[in-house]
Amino acid sequence: MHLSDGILDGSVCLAGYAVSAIMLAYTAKRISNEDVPKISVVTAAFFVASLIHVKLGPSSVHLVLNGLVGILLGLAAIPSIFIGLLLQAVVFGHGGITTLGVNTITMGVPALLSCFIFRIKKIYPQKSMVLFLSFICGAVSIIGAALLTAAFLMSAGKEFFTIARIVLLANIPIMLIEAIITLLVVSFLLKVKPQLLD
Amino acid sequence: MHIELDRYARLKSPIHSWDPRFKIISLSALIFAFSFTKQLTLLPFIFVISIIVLLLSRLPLLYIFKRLKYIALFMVPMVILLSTTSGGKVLFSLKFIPVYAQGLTMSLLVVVRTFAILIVFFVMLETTPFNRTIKALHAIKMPDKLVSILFFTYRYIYVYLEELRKMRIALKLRGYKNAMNYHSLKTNGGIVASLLLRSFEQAERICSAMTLRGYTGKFIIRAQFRACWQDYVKEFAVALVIIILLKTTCSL
Repeated sequence: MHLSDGILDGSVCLAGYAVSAIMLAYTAKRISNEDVPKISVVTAAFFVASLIHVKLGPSSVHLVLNGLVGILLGLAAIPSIFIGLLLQAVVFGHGGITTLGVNTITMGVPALLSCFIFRIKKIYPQKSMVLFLSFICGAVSIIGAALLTAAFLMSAGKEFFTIARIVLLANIPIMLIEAIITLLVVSFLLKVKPQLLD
Repeated sequence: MHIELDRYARLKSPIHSWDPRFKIISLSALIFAFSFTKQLTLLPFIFVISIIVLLLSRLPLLYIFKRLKYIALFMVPMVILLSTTSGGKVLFSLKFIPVYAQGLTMSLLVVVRTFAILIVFFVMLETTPFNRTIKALHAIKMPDKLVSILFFTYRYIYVYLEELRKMRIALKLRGYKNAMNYHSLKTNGGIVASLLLRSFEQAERICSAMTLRGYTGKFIIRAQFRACWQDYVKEFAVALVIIILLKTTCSL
């Protein structure tokens, strides 16, 4: 879920860019030069994975996977999400170019949150705990993104209040799907290559 | 899925010949000026400006309209929701559903702004080969690491699109159908996991291969940009439009 162009006021868009620039500068500093190709390749895989649609009632939703980005890339999730969103705007023309900064915040902050939540597994390394944490990460990343999106929508004027509420409600089933997918992917990786999750 | 980004990037037009550095800066500023407009009276003007930019670029109109069509589809539910839930003065009622004046004007504002922004954005994007756009971004001081990630990610998207296509064919051959059940979720989870697994494994090999070839993390550009007087004239013209737009937005 992302805010498209034309909805938010120019000043909010610029503020979004400013805040995400700070986040990008901070996280990019933590990335070593050798990690750049790795982050890029994984970002490409995430980009393609987000094209997968899951059936939901009569329609279908595409995967967001920002929780998983946070789990697997840690702080590098911010540049990864920023570039992913930029390419989405470039390649498909949706997602928004004026709202790129705002969308980096709405998707990136929950990704960082789930990165920190997943670190609890260092204290409780049992398998069931890791799976439970991944489920929570998937859920938190979506509901966090939905809350932030709704907040930005409300900044566009009181005409958007009901729509913001609808966005929140519509994201509840997506949250469940995303939580289950995150759990399944983590359990798969635990079996095949557990060192990826460290 | 085939993505044709550079299809019309080599036509001849005043926008195509514009130095990409100047193009990105001026047209991005124009896009932001559009997003600042709040008055209905300005809407025809920003729409006309975007159309003029589009006509100057000589991009095939049909192609741009096709790209806009998907966005238009996304906007329909928003317009309906906005005009029926915004609150305020009821303009008229369709049976039991009230249509609000405020929501309707807001929808008009959003729709015109969106199309004006996207038309200019598509012109900016489609009139330069994407690799050159990336180099121009580097030339206007986008940080090394971000430019590198953008460049490599763009390269590898196509690799993984192909992987996804192959996996989908394999699933289809085994009689898989996307449905709303646990089995489907598990299959999709499996696809995501194996895409990620492949990417992590490939990333290590790519890293070693690049280091062996002398990669140090520096983004080396080959394209040299040289601005001529026409570039400055075009930038000046756009700057003038932006100033007039912002001035009228503030004074109205």
